[in-house]
Amino acid sequence: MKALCLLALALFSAPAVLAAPAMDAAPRQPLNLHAIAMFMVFVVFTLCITWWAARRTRSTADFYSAGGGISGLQNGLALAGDYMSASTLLGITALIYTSGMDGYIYLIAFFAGWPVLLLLMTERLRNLGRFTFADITSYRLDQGKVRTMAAIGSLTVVCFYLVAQMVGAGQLIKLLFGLDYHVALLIVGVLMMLYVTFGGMVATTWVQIIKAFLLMIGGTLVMLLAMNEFDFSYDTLVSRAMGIHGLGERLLAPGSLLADPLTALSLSLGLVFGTAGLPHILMRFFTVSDAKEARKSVLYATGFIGYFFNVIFLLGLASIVIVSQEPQYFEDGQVGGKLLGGGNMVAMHLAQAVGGNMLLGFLSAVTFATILAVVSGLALAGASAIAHDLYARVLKKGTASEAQELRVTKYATLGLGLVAIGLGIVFENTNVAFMVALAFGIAASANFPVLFLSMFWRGLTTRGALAGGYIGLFSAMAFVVLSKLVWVDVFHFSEPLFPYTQPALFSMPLAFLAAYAFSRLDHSARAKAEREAFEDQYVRGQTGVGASEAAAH
Amino acid sequence: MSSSSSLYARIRRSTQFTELVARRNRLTLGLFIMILAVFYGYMGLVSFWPDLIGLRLSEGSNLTFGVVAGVSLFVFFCALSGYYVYRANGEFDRMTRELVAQVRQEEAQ
Repeated sequence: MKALCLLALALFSAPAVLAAPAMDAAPRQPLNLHAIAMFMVFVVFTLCITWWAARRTRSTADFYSAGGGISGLQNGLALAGDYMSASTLLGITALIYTSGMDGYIYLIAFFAGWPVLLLLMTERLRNLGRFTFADITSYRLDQGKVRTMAAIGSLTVVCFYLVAQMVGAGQLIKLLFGLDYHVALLIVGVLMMLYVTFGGMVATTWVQIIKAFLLMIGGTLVMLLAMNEFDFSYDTLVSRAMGIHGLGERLLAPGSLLADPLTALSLSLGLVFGTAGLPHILMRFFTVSDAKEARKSVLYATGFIGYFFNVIFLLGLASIVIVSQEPQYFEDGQVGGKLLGGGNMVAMHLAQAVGGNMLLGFLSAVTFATILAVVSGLALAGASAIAHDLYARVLKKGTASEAQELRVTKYATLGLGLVAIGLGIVFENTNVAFMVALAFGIAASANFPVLFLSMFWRGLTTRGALAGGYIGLFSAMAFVVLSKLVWVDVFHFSEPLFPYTQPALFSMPLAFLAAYAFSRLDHSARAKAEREAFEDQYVRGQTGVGASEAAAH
Repeated sequence: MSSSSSLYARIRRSTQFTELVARRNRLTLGLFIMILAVFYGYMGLVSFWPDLIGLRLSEGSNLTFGVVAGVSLFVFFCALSGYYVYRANGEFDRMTRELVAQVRQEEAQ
């Protein structure tokens, strides 16, 4: 097989794209029976939940938002699960292992979006929306055109993210479980379709909750066992890590990755606002009964994520001492050479070192579960954009029956699953890191600006929303295509035409500017009516009067 | 739709609504500025004063400024979120309930 530079784990989320060391496509590993057995337990258990959830998923509200019946704590865990992907554990542990402090700074930047999301978005999202964020964007604007635009933005983000996840999943599972790439894709795709088509939001949420729980348990366990070797002393840990690591005393000083302020700014903007534009995250706000529970869920998520990120920091430092000295984790037993399975396997090696094959198997199974949970959330968000936004609202203009709409959600999920498997196979040997950059870039540039303005700015009109949305979408795509990620890595030109890999710093202001200018220049009668309609929307957003309520069961 | 529209208009005109929004906006804006200041302050130090980030807080201790400030930032953001949720779910939700009940009552008369 052609050796290629694959950011396999970088595919799971933004920071890793920018951070994770490149990893060569790894050879297939021997079958990992512990991991497979534990994963089977997870699958059987979640399928039972899906069966239980399927009996409760009768209406469209059940399918899209679990009938608003998820509690704040449950939704907080699920949100944390959406955010803590396989790469956060593997990619950032690896980054701390190689670069020390830079990894911790990434974690901080990755965390800062949450309080912002709580303060600016949570309340109004819950008060104004019902199933998808397009409900809010098109609240007082032209239903057909604006909803279509928002749905296209959603679907683009979902598709890129989904394909990136699938390719990463295939590579990772090949490595951890010793399964064939295509078999791995098929397993992920089929399970995802089962969860979503039968269990809708209820099943997806529970898969996410269980996975978040397991991930935190697994991470904590490895952390405790590792810290035990240092008598639970941070001081000892740092002394020994500094003594071993090539950076020495500079281990806890910032390195080269964030030296350029513009890169740091671009990164943090992309992370904060990209998160606030990801359809599968936004959709979670509609699964709770009211704004009060929505706020609580973000608070819980913030706590869980903050805790876990600090655990990751300790894992990274501990692996410097425990993994980097052991010949058995390096190819040909050469300490300091290439790590077995590539750079991103640091956390896995650490688990094996402190907890043996059982713990390694457990962590591998959790990682597989993590991928499954994230792709399920994405597929659900995509199916909602197709069935609720495009089919029921735009095409049928609200005349479709619940049964018809539910049927469309199932076809849409199956379709997305097939597309994901198909494109996963097509892109097996491509560096798909650009797809995550695209997903976050488009989320921050096409989805977020129009959503934000529709909630906060009276002056937004249909014309402005369309201009902002489409300009954000296409400029983000253009910047990514012209950047190193596609222009050099995929098309093999020698020099990128656009110097940054994160488009958000440039395409997001462009989208805001376009939305503002086109709205301002819009003097039509419709624009006037739309501005006046802001008053009612404003009161509803502030007070929750008229907000969709939890379905009675 | 028209009845909820008139309800919205009544709420919009009430002084309690203006006060609720003003109070909540003041809190939100204050906290938001604090978040931006702390976060971009930290990132600014990383970019412009990297030596401080790696500085030991005292001789012979492995606690460095960057890590201690980083952990504090995690704790601070959690505490700040907690404070906002405490105010919003208590005080502001209570104000909202009273406001809506009163306006509904007026409308019924």
